[in-house]
Amino acid sequence: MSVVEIEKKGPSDHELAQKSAGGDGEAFEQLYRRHFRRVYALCLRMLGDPTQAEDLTQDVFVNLFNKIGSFRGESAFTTWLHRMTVNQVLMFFRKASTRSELTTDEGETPVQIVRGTENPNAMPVVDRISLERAIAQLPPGYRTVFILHDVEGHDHEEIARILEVSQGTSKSQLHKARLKLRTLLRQQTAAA
Amino acid sequence: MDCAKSLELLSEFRDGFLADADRVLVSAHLALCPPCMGISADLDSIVTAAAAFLSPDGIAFPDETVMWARVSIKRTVH
Repeated sequence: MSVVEIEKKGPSDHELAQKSAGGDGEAFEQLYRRHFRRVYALCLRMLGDPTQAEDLTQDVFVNLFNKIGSFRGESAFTTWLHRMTVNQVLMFFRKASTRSELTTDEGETPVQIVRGTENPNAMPVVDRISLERAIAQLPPGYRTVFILHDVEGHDHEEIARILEVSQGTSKSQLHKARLKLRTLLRQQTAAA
Repeated sequence: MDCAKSLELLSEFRDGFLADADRVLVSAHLALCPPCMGISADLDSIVTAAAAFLSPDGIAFPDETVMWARVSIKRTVH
């Protein structure tokens, strides 16, 4: 049974959140089971590491439990939880003192275009495993913007709001992320 | 338009964010420059693959019940 079907048959997320806020543990468990996979998948995409994704998923739901009373239903529960998850991952990046590329370009190798050396043909079809591997190698700042825009489908206005950066920064990070991915994917192809 | 400028604008070009004047210039450059056209095609492939990445297929999810136990334990400790 899909999550949508469960939601149709059972109480809404908002109702479960209200019950959870009132101390109903079963309601909170229902919310967890409904959204666990979505949260884990987002953590995994942003972190690129299953163990870290498990830890962060755990942290997200503990945080959710502590803050569930502040959900007023003004936005969809999934949107609210999504933002909470992204913030949790960003906090993890900051705590780990991971170098963020949101403010600096240092250390990035510019793409060189030398006439006659580029293959004019498009890359072979990018398969999921190659892309997953390449995304995992992106610097955290690039990876975050790429996941939010190209995978999750957020626009730059939303990303700027979530990450508290300018839209220009979001666009710039996305472009650099794509170029970096291209380099990584080509390296994978060459090494194969 | 030269290659460096074209490269700088490629993502905004493919995402439809460029003003008309720049869009025409990038488009004209790509038509004449196979290397830049190659990069543009690569970016298209990446973006197309990324959109399909949202599907949970292929993700090895951890055991839901074990994870729930972890969440519950941590809540109790806190």
